[in-house]
Amino acid sequence: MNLRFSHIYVEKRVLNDSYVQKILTKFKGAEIIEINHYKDRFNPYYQSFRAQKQAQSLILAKKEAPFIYGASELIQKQDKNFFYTTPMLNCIYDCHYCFLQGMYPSSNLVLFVNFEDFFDEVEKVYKNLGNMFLSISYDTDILAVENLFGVAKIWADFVKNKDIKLELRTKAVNVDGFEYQKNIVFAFSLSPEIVIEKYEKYTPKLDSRIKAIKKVINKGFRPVIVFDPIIKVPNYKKVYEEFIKKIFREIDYKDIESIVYGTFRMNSTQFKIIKKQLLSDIYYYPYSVKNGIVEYKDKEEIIKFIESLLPNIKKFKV
Amino acid sequence: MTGIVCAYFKEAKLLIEYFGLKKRNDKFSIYENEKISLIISNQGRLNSAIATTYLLSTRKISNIINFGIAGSSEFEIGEIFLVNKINNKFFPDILISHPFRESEIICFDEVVESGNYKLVDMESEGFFKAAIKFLKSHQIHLIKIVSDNLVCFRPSDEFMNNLITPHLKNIENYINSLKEPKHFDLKVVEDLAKKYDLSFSQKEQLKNRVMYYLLNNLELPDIDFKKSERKNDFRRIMNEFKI
Ligand code: SF4
Repeated sequence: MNLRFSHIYVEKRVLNDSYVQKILTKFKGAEIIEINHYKDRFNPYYQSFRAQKQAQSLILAKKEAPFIYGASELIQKQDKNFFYTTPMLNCIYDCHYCFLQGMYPSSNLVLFVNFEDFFDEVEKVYKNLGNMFLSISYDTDILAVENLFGVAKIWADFVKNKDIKLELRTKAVNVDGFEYQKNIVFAFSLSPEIVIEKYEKYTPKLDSRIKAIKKVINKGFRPVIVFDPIIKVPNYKKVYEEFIKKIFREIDYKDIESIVYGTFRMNSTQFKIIKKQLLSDIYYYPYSVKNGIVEYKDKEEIIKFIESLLPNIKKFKV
Repeated sequence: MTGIVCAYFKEAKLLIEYFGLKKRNDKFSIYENEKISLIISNQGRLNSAIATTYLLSTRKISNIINFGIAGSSEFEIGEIFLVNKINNKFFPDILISHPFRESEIICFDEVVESGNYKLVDMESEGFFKAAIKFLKSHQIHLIKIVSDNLVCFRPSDEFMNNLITPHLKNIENYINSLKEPKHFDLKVVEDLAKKYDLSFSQKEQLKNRVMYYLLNNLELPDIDFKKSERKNDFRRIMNEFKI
């Protein structure tokens, strides 16, 4: 049994916040534990990221600056003025290849509730630049918990009538609450069903994700499709060929804004940390390590093969 | 193995009897069977830390419990608690379902005889701080039974009996639900490394390959050729593992 959110830690300074109170009413049976600062609960070295995934706690907290960040090398930069922000740390899904495992001492979910402080900072940077591409689903899958916390909707409302493209990168299917809005970019991460089953624990099945894509297309959105990370499973050519054919049989590529794709890669320090705690064959494959990045030796060949399967629309290799 | 740290023999006595623990000839008062090792620390956070450190450095322990009595101005005598916060800054991770109520605890250096406290004791912080040097926070547990409403007293055997006995079954169930870490059998790596005299780094590469096979439920190749030169042998072995 997964005891997710059986414990909720709340910073004393946000305890009386109305959003916090609303969240707490959703978890009637949970232990509510007051804390001084989320870092007291989140940062200690003597936690097990892996063990906590079986019973993630929720931490409700106030974030302090910085509120937005520039893009790192390992993620895509589809647009200039790319920024990401972290309204939440960690994720309720549990993908074997997730870099968060190598980054945080804890897998507990931290939800920052001081939305206004985020907005003020974004507003400042945005006014300066004139436009902005902002991912709010970078250190998490924000849509996965949309039914509980409604964070994406709060952000969607904030960017309305602003020249800010809001990216919602996701494996989730909770899209019902969104009416068409031209500056929201749904970016659906898709993988072959055997990859989902083996490496993307707790995530929706491929068919449900395809259904969600169709739903947003029907609403008028032009979603992005993300094939990243591509995992070299046994027989990967056959697996990915069938998978990509299926996607574009079911979804008209003309309704897609662009395709983002890339093979599995990871910072080697994070790779080592994760290998120590997660038993997954992903961490036992013979990769090459170049400039501190772990990746497939035949990456170019895999990419070429995947490219041969993609329709002729805008593409971003990462 | 599960470790238990009690401050007093009076707190430990019923557990010792219930689990059939035998006294060991040791520097500390230690009582054991093949699954549980219980140590008596004496009063106070320093003593608790010393005993906890001793137990964890001399035994293969995957979970450790601080069991004992605690004062409270709020709860009733006889109620049992699993601790979820110590002195507002330490958090044992409670990741399994359990039959207890939960509470925070405040650890003092003196006996507390007044004030408003959910739970107070004199060991919890020392115990926890020592345990985190060896284990992760979900492997560290504190179970406390309320013995008094902040009055100083000497509990009789009968009092302790009445206090602890009703909870023994639940404590046993809790201990049984604690997980031992999973180990993969890598004997095949050891055997091949020995037979073909592999170097440390070759052995590590082989270990990765074998793990990849085991985690994919692939059948391991049967390797049994005549030993020749190390480098060639290693190449031949790795060729048998196709990825
Ligand atoms: S969905 Fe993304 S953030 Fe969540 S576990 Fe998977 S890789 Fe990590």
